Amino acid sequence: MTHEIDLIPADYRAGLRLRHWGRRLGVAYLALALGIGGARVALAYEVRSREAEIERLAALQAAAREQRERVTALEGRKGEIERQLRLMEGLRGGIDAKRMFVAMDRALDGNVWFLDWSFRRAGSLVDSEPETVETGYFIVVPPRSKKERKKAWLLETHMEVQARAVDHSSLANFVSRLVEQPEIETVRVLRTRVRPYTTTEVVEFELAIVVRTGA
Amino acid sequence: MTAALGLANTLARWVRPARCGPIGVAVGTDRVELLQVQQGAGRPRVRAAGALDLEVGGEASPELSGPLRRALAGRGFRGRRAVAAMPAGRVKLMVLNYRVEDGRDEAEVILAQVGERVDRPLDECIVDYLPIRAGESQPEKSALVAVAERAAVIGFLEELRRAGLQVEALEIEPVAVRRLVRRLTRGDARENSLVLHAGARRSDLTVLWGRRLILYRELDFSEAGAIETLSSTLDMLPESAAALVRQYGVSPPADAPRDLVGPAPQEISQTVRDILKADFQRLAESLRSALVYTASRTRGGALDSVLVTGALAAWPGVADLLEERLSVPVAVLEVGTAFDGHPGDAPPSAVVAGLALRGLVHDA
Repeated sequence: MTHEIDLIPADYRAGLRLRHWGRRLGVAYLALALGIGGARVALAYEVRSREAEIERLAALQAAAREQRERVTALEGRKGEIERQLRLMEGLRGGIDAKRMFVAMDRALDGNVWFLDWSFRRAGSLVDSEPETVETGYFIVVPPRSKKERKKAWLLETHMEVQARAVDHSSLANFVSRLVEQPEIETVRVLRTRVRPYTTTEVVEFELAIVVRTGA
Repeated sequence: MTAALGLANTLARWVRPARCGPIGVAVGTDRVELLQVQQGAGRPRVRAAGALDLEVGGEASPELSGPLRRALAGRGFRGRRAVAAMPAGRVKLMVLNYRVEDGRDEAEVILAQVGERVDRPLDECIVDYLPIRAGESQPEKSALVAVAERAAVIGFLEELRRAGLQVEALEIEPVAVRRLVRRLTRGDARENSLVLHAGARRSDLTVLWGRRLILYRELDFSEAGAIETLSSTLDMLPESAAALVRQYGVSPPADAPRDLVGPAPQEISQTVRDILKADFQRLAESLRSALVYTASRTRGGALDSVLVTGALAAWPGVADLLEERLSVPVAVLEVGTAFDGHPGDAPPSAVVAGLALRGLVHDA
């Protein structure tokens, strides 16, 4: 192989080679920069999408929390209403007037007559530990909070009768018959005395009759 | 059988695509030529070719990158590797005879001689040389030296780079022509030729002794000078004189048109011969001198042929005219025969063909 004449200066050729590689590096750098830029844009887009999703979920969570609070409030109100309802039902409990009259009528005979008859249905809150609800005498009042002590609604349903009997035996029979009545819980003789009545004597007495509630 | 061979060739092309050479770029004074060939099974095949006239204006060199881009576009050139020749006007070629004393470097000796012959500092020049091996035993050696102004070389290379070309080598025209001749003679080491490159503006001769280039000489002859002589003698425009001589030459072709009222083609050719007799005489003497020199350097060896290339090769009858005066076979170098197929109207010039063959022909 002979020497070939070549007039390209060596430094020019080296410069061209350098420029060539520089251009390649530049293109590679540009491609890399474009790649990174593209990735950043894609990442930013993804982050924005995720943030929007997070915001949407947060809004849903807030709405759910609000709903839950409303439900809790409503449940509290419902509990209060149910408590009041149970109280009302308790208050409404017990025998009705008709049955009471029938019971009294069954105990009466011709030897006892009434002078006065009073009926009382009342109650009061007392500290109590009854475990049953609506036992007849007590209605357990559900506490409003855990700190609040349990209360019981003590029902006082009783009758007071002021009457006269022809004799003590008639009084005793009357009381016995009353006690036998299923509507009557107990009968207490509060007071008796003999009292002249026209030509004879009668026994004037006062009874406290406790009516069986819930019967 | 033929079909099978065709199929085999097609498959071979798929498996191993044809090897493409670089794009040869030859820039003349008013024309730029491009040629790319690819290695075929036999002769190289022209892959793409293009030529474009340059807008010549004033003293400045014509702008190249634009015409080159236009010449390259859409013609099927593969890649942008190129081999160019430094335009003849921008490079000085000289043959130096020198002796290398013991301990001295050959390049140093040549540079020292070049320094004495150029009128500018050597660091402003690009210098390269091709040893002309006239005989290993002889102490005196010769080299064909190319000297170009560095700024001109860089400017030329930058023009080519702006046109998108990657210049692999910047050669000189005689080396390209030598490569083409080697291709045409199939590298026959016994083939000894004198190549007369007669261009539009300048001419030179190269003696190829087998594989060696043993002589290079610039000649005092150019087509433009001959046309100027013709136009001034006949009192006609240079363009008309050029058209006349290219049509009828110095010996009319058989198919030359005959004007019924004008002179016969033979008369026109004879007139041209008469007018240019002195120019051709001078040219023939230069060639004879080269023949004598060659005989002296080759111990009486004789050249097999004189090959004419360049603008003068297009003149009808020029080979016959020179052969009459030299007594050596003279032929026009048929560039087109070096390749299979050459698109375009005219075959490529010897210079661009030689440039395009770089890498495809071993320049041993």
